[in-house]
Amino acid sequence: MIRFHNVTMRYPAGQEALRSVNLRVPPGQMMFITGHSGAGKSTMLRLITLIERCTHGRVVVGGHNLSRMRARHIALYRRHLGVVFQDHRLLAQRTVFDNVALPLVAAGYRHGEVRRRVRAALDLVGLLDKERQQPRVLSSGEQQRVGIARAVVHRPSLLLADEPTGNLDPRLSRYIMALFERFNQIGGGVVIATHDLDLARSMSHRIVTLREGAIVDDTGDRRRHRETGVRTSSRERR
Amino acid sequence: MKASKRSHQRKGEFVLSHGTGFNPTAWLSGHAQSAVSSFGRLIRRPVATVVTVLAIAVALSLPFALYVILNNAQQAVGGLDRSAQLTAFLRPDLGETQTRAIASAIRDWDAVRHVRVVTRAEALSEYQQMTGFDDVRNIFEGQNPLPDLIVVTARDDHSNRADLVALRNRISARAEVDAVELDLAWVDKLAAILETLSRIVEVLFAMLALGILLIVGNTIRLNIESRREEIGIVRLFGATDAFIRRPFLYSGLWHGLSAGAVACALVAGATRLVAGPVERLVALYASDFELIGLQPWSAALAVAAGGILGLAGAWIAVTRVLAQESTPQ
Repeated sequence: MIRFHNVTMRYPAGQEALRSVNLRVPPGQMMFITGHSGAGKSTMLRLITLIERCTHGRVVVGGHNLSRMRARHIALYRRHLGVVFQDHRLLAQRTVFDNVALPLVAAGYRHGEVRRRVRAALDLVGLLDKERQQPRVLSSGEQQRVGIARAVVHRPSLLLADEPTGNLDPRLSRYIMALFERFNQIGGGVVIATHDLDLARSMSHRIVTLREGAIVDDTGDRRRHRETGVRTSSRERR
Repeated sequence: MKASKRSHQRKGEFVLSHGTGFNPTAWLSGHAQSAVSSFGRLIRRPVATVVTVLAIAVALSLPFALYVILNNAQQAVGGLDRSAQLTAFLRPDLGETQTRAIASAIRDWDAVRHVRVVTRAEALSEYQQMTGFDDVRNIFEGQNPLPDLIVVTARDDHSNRADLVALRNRISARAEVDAVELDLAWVDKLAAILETLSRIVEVLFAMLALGILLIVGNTIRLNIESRREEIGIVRLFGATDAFIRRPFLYSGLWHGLSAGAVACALVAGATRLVAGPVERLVALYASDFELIGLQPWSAALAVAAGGILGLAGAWIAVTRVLAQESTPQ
């Protein structure tokens, strides 16, 4: 589903956020991108969401080369994505319901369908009773759950989360991760950028570690190598 | 077809299409929501809205006030059109009976409002009165050298230059007519004055329309600035430029329509203010002139013009901002 081919991202000031990154994420995989601040985690998400285009290499998502995607296709491409932010980025003037409905309204869904899906998404995150409230009266954890409901309400193929547990306590963090896993279990791909390596390690999913814009560790590779090694040795045994 | 497309679609591949198709109900509902929410947004910021609407209204009211002045000037000089007269000098050998027959024929023409016959005897008598010569007949050795005249007054709606020239040519074409006198100089002057005034209204309207576009454009640009983060979020969830543009266009439309209505009120108020003095002035000239304000259709035009200019200003501003931001670098 996601392929980074020798991707380099250099900002106009000369700072290199990503250096020759190669990565392949199959459809329906849940994956963590970890690394210290400034390692390039958010840049990878920004490239996938097409907020920016890479300066060198190729990013292919859902079969589309994002470096060449035309402006008129970007909105349609983004309808396949769900995005969760560390700071929630909820619209303060609108109710919880309206915030969650945003991707559906933008895509032109019928009113009845919007209502049905929004209520289902709010039910999923346990906030159905808060649909008429303004986001500012909710706790940080509740706001993050609203953000998750908004990110999954249109049933995206790929869910991207940038430090989704950054401001939450460990119990809430685990709850949020459980929500991501539930989304993943019904077939959606999940990419979570986090600096919390312990949290990532506590889940049995692929972890890609970045340092200064380069991938320095990939548990997916290790697992693949391990499986390849096992197969080789069993063949050897035979 | 759809099934075959799906079968060719590989796992994890995104299909970039408007998945829900065009849904008129959702489209209309989206417009209604944008219209109501943008109107609500204006009401929630009353001071800023009133200032902007007043600025646009003043700019709009100037050309419309000039239009009212022009309209009244045309009406006032319309009275002068009644004196748009032609004098036909008939052949001297014609008798009075023939003269009156010709006058009767001309009277039936569409372009003619009134016909007056001045016989040669009447003409000589007028000449006598004008010059003060009692024995004018002796001067002309007992003869009356003056011909019969027919004074033709054109109808008001045929008192423009082209119609008067056509009428003169038609009268001249008659064999019994020697010459036709038509003083076009004042008609030309009047037409030039009215044309100048009309052009001033047009130029002023164009200049002020540009000003309105800038006012609305700047208001919408500030509006966009204050909602830049919201636009960024909506965009990340697949909103098209049209979807983002919509509430701003409605905002421009509401500004323009309200300003158009306020401009009408300003012009109506100004007309009322000057109506009294104008009535006293025309009474001194014993004229039946009446001051005409903004007519219902022109008031509707003013509101519509405000709406169109507001919409256009918003379109320019929002398209410019979206074009700068829509494509990632």
